[in-house]
Amino acid sequence: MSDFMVETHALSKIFKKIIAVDRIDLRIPKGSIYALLGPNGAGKTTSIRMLLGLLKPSEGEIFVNEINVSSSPREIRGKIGLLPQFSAAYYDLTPMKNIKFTLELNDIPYEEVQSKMTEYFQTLDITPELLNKPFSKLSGGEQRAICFIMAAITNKEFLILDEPTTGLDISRAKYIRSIIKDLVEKEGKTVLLSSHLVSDLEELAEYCGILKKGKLIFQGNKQEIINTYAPETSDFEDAIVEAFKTPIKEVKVPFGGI
Amino acid sequence: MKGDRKNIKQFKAILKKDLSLLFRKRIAIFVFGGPFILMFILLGVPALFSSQQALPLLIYNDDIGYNQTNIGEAIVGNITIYFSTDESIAVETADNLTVVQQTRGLGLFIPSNFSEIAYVGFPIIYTVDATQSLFTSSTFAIINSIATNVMTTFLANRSINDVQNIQIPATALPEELILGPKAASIALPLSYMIFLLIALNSGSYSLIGFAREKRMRTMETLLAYTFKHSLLVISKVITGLVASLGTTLSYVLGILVGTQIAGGSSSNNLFAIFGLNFNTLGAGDIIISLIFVVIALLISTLITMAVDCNVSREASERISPIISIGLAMFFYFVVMMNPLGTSSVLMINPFYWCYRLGLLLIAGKFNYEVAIYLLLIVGIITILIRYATRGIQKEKSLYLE
Repeated sequence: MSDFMVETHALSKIFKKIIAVDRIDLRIPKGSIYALLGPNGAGKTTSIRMLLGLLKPSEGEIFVNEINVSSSPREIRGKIGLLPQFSAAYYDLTPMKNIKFTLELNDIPYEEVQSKMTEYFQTLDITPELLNKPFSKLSGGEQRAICFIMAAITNKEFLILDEPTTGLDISRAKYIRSIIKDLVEKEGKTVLLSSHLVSDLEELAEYCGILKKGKLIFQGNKQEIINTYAPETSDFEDAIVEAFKTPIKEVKVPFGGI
Repeated sequence: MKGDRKNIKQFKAILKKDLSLLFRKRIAIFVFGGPFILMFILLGVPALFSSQQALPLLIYNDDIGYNQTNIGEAIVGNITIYFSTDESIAVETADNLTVVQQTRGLGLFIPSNFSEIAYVGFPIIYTVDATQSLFTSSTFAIINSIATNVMTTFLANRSINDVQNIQIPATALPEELILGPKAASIALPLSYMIFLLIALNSGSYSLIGFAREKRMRTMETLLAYTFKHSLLVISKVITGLVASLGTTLSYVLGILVGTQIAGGSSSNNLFAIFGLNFNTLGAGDIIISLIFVVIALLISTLITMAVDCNVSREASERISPIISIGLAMFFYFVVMMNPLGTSSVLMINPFYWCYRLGLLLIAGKFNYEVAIYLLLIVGIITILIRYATRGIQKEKSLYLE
């Protein structure tokens, strides 16, 4: 039994002549929150899509929960909960119909998650009126919150959350962070988080991987990133900014401490 | 087994979602309301503002006929008796074939004497009561039966609204003799329905296809959660068929209401629109022909979907109509020239496979040809589903263009 939910070996993706992901070795420990960071165009979305089995790697191997995704991408289908970067829902349907569709698609009886869903609705201030309006009539924050709920209720062991709090107001963002923490701490889920918001990263990320121009330039826990990139200030945000600025080198801490 | 159950559950969920998206207000108005409104406006509205004109009835009354009986004279006599005071019918007579040909645009043409001599060499449009008539051959008996029908049913009962156009070639082709009168009478309506419905429904695909999923950015989650991606394609195809059938129904209803307002309708109009007649053909034959129309629509939807999923959106917008409507148009015009013959240029046209298989089954022929067309149809459907599935799995399906 591997301790890692995700293990990649020299994973690469080349689009025509552009190297989007360049021989990365991700290690995401089970039951943790792992933040995949990087400037725009660093290869985060491409990496995520390869983990989901939606993109075929050009080289390398991917194991998600010991399933070899690179050789049998079909096996991983339906096993990862996903919150995509942009609000992905049917704009003509109501939020409730969107949620029910997600439940039916994942073969989850409504009754099984009803109490949990009600709790999420209350926490995130999603009123019954909102649930019965067309999704297109909701504000950006409300749409994001609904999409987050759609991902969270899928009850998958591994969740990929791409920018979960972008566009949310302060209180909803805070509650979503708290829900993510609960999913990991109380339910033992593993979360791969992609975010640009330092507040998310500071509060949630146990481990970080930093991608730059397709290369994984750093991988380790939060303290290690501070020690590596901002030992003087001991500030996490400074460390990330510094990491983004640093020229591409080899991976500094490939989970040596785990 | 467990996997199959999961796939069925997922399929139900996906289909339910696709259908509920189809029945959203804006789309439903376009798909189900549009053709009705259009046909209503085209047929019904002008009738509201125009006075009813008398229906011209042209009688060819100067021919002795094959049995030395001038039926034309008798018809004119009957018309005088039955319609002398009727303003809805204006009787015209023609003394020779040249006049008939020159005045055919007038309206209904009743070939009065039905003699063999009068029609040799002319595939001519007869307007008759087709209650018992069959698509003809050179066997003269049928002409005689048309004459009888005209005399006994059409004129005597004034069933003007029940007339339909049937095309009677001068001589029977060998294929006609092989396939028989049933297949011959369904040939033109079947090819017309296939062509018309494909043309009519070509625009609705963009509303139900994967382009919409891409616009809503739902492709990624859909692909990530669905175990078998071909289910996504099949669900869209079924939704497309529902949309097509809805559009067709709306079109037919629009014509019916429009013609009702225009003052000419009967229950038989529903079939007169496509040239089908329950009296001429059995219900079973009509059902078989409708099944093959639906299969042709299915193939048309799959062609559009396969192209749409495998090339860029811009290219697909140009290529899809050319392939689907182009194939249908080519099929229709070639078939028109020789409805019952086999055509080598149509051998690679899937709509022709549907048409031909339909004819063979209606004719009751269960030979190797049936097996070949059946295999071809099943094969093309399987290939198109696979091709479309491969298309949605391609990287480009995840990116907005």
